[in-house]
Amino acid sequence: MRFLVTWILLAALWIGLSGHTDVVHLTFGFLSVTLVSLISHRHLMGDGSLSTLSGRLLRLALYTPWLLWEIVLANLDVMLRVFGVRSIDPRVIRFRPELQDDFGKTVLANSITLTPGTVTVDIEPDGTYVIHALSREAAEGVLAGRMEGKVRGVEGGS
Amino acid sequence: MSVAEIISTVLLALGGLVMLAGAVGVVRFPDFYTRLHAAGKADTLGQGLILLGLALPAGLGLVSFKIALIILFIFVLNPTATHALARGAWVIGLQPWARDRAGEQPAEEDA
Repeated sequence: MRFLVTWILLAALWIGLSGHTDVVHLTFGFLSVTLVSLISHRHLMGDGSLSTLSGRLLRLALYTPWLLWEIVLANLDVMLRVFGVRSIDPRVIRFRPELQDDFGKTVLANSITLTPGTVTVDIEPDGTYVIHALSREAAEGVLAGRMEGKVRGVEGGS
Repeated sequence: MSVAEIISTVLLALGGLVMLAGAVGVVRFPDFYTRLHAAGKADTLGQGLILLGLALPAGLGLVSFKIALIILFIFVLNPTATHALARGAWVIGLQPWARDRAGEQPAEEDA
């Protein structure tokens, strides 16, 4: 099942990228898609069930617009600091989010890094995030945990 | 100019401005970590705006589909690369610059 879903996704991608639908291109495409799916379907789909995965993807899609808006706001803030309108006051903070699994941790770490002003530097073995923040406000933004709450929503009750 | 062209031009200009801010930040910020903030992040939004500006005149089709994929990949790859650089510096023990130690020399980028 996982193999089949990977295969369909990759085949759609192949057709989308090539734009050719004649027999030669499709044959080569489906051969490569089959080979790649054989090798990689375990990595793409992970261990979770298909319904967990699709639920996550759906909630991730709902989370993305909020994240995009945060990125725009934070970018403006960093731009002001670049041009010296606001000053920088970098610091390193540590905090430990209450997240269930690697998927949520990855999404949160990537979101923090994507949001300008904060970079996830390291995740220690016990799950403590080490974050470099460009300013006091950016650091407080992470510690306030609004993003963490949103990501917990993406994880769902799985 | 059509409406699509105007919007596309505005997006391209905005994207260029964001990228410029990132470049200025790399020059102005004091140490490796703060420069990473400027270089890694401004690019995500800047490239996104520029690529959107390019996709718009192309209309819905193969070209804009490919551009959408590029935007998606940048959104996954850029923070990953930024994190890898920051973690690399952290693991070898590069100390971040802080305001209360401003009198000292900021850490060299190649330290």
